[in-house]
Amino acid sequence: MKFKYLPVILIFLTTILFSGCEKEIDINLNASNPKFVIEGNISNVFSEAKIKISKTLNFNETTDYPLVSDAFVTIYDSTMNITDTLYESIKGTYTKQSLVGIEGHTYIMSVKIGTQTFTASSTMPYRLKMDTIIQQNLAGTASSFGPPEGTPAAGSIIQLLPEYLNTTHTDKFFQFVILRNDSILNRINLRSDLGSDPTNFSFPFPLFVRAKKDDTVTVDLQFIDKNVYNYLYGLTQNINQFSASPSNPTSNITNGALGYFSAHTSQKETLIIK
Amino acid sequence: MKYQIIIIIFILSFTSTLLLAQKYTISGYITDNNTGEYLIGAVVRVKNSPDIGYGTNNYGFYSLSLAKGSYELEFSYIGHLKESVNITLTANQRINVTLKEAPNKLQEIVITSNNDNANVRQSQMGLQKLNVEVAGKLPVIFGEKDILKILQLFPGIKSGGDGQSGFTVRGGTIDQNLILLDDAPIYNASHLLGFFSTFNSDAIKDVSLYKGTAPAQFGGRLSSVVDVKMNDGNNQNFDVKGGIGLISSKINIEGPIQKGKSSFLFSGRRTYVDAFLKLFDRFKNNSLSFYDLNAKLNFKTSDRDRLFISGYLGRDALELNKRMGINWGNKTGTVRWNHLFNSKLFSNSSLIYSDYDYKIDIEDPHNEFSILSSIRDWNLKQTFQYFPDSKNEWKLGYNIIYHTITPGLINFPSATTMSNEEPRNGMESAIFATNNWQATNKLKINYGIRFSSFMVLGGSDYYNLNADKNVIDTIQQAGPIENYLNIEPRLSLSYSISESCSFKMAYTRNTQNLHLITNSVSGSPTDKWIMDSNNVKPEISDQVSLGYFRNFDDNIYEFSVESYYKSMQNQIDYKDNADIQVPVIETQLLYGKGRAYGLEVLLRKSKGKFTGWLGYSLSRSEKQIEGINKNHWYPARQDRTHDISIVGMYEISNRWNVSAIWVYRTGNAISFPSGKYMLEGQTVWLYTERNGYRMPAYHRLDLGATYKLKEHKLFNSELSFSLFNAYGRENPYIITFERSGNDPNQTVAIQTSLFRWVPSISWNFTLK
Repeated sequence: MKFKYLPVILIFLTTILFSGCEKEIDINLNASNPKFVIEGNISNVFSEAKIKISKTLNFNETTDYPLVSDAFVTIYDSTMNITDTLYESIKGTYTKQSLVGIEGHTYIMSVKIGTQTFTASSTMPYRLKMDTIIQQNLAGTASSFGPPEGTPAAGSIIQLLPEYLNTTHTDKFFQFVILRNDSILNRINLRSDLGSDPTNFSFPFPLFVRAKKDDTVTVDLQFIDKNVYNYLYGLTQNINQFSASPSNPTSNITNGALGYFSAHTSQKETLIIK
Repeated sequence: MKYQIIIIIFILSFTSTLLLAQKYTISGYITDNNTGEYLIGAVVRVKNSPDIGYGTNNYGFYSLSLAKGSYELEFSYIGHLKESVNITLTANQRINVTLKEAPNKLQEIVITSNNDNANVRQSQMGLQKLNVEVAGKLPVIFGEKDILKILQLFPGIKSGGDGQSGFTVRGGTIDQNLILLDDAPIYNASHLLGFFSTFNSDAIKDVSLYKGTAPAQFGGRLSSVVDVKMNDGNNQNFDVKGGIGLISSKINIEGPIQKGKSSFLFSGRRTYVDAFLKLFDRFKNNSLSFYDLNAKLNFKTSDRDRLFISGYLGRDALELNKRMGINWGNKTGTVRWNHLFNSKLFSNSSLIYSDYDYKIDIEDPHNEFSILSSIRDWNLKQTFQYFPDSKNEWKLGYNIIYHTITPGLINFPSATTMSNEEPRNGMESAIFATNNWQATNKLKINYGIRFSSFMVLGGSDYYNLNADKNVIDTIQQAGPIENYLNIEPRLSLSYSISESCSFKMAYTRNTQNLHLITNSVSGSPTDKWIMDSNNVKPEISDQVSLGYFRNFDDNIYEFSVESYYKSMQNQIDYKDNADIQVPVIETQLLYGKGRAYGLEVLLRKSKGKFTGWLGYSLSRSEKQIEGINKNHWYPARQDRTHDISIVGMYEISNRWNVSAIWVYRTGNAISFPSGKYMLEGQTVWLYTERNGYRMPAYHRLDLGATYKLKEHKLFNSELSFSLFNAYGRENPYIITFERSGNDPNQTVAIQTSLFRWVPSISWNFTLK
């Protein structure tokens, strides 16, 4: 055997061992009947009551997702026995700015499209309040989270440590939505447990964000109800294709619509990265 | 009750064999002349009545009873010269025989049968035996011959695919295969994420795979039993052989401790991919390696007693960016004592330890922790083999296994502690009886029964779940939580139409108390084993199979067709969008029934310069589970319609051997999206059914050649070359769906494939 070829063979071997080859392929995926997709939110913050209605597309379609106009949309506060009607502000989006939810109240969304009616119910949980958020730069130390250093500069990894106010009563399902410069970066720490003593809650839940100096980072702590928690959990599995059994997340909306309706709390804390 | 009837018939048939007329017994061991290895499945024939043939057991022992008289006995084993002995039988006799290797051994190599038409004659169905030497002649990835990979070229035994270690048998899942190395269960039989199996073929003597039709001494898995026996070690001469390949090397040393009485064997392998990776900047912080060691000691303490001590240790290590390390491996140990009470009663007692664990270390400055997960068994197995007369061969015994599963001990070096799940314990026990009965000259029946029990032991937390699979309360008790009892009848019979043609049929019930929770069809090192619990019930399968076996042209060609139907209970699958990383895994599981059926055709030529086989299977495997796929039947993930293997080996000259393998398989069933929608600015996939799609078909051609180098005065050696995936087919490993970078409304399917054209070369030697 000629040993001068050995390095070539080795390079070849290691390349195939560690970098699989990826390519786009055509898969014949079945057409599916279009379904309605409803994304409904009401929070304890002004102008966040918003219901978006769209439709599904087949996998290979490249058009915009169809938005649904002329729906009749109401939110009923069953604790207070009040019904509010939401109006289409932009195509496919129904809002009512003055509609602000209250912790502990149960809301029922009703969406009527043509002859079909879709309803969903959600109870706004009690929340835990954040006090401040502390920024800790992880400069010089690499983290096993996020992409490796040296990839195109979105900034370095920064750890955010929210601190909380003591509270007497909260529910246990929550998520952090993190926005960087007003665009949603990710939803992380979808959690279902505050530990054994929720009234004396000190575990910091460090949040890791990739950002650079002068970026505006907003942390939105949302308490959500259990069905929505389950829905969002399934949604993460679906989007990331992690699951051994990928499927549609279980919706709280009746009549076969996709999506969810969530009455949740919201508390946004913004900081400028130093 | 039908079971009572079965038991009564059983006891009657057992006692009746004891009452037969007095005969004399000839018994003994058959060994290899050169190495002293006990030969498994060597054949003893009584010349005057060639219809009667007896095989040696797993320890080379045979026993047969004949009436007073003169006989010529013929002893034979594949690759060995036949030996004849004339006896005049007037009393019980011990005859130990050593057989010499045939001088031109290469041409003699056959894959299954020791006896030319054993495939036709034996009552056992669904059995695939493998001679280890064949493994050396076939092309294999990275030049490492691998018995498990070769078994996957036979019909009904399906490979997981590139980079995947598991295999499935007759529509079962990968955890439904019981893989035994010297009776010790191996829970993860793969190295390097599936490119190598844990079996170093230099240390292996014999491999049998039962496709769900194993006799009653085996139990605990639904689909198959792979019974691998290690060499005992040469008790005549020192013997050193080894191999040097591009990414791994190995050595095998064996020899006598006291000539003819005791021996040792030591065999080791190690890869050095990691050493080479350090040479490259891109990979210098990553490493991937494995090693394994086999060792065995064997003592003949008296004419009636033999003691074997064997062990296996294997470990893989994967390191990424020096921050995350995963290492995993099996450890097994077997102490076995063979005792001959008399010429008709052979006993084998084994005490077995088996452990599989994986450890993940995260070394992040801010998040340093490790996770340890393991499954550990203590296993006691006792088998009595009783040869009452020339027509019956009984095996009776029991097996007790104490399992401990540690689900994932999380260890933070810092003061922060997290609640750990307690290890769970279970006691699996069985008693069994089975008889191989030659009913008439034409009819052979193997019948048996196995009583099995699984006790879910307390002492750790168990959970009661509601209908929505949420934990409603925790059971904490010291005593047993649950005890599951099962009766497993087994029956296999063959009817010879002629010397070269037979019909066979079999019915087998199997149960399974250990289950693997995995994200993929074919396994990864961090998959979780779980035991039966208050929620998880034992899996049960009932398989009926029928077969036609026919040899042609003086047994040069072998042909068989087998078909089976298997009905399964308490099958496990994941609920929609399951997350198998959650602490209480039972919240993610659903249970229902399964069915699998198929047809397997094998045509093989096992003699001459050209040898090889053609295997085809047509099959289906489905599940019906409440809560999945709108409660309709759906294909199991491992379901594949067609599976073809063509294997050819040709001996060009004394020096050159060439070989080729071609495989084709329908893709696995998989859930792909049928549509998409937008939610919160993200693309979400719309699914319409479980496993309603197929991965693209898998096909591949491998080529191999071995060249025997000139004899050196110190050693014999050969070079073996192989080219894996010769036409560079991009076989799918995974397919993911994503939004196209250019256009957010466009979505694409991305296929990742692993290997195209993997060449390899290795040098194998045997010291003289």
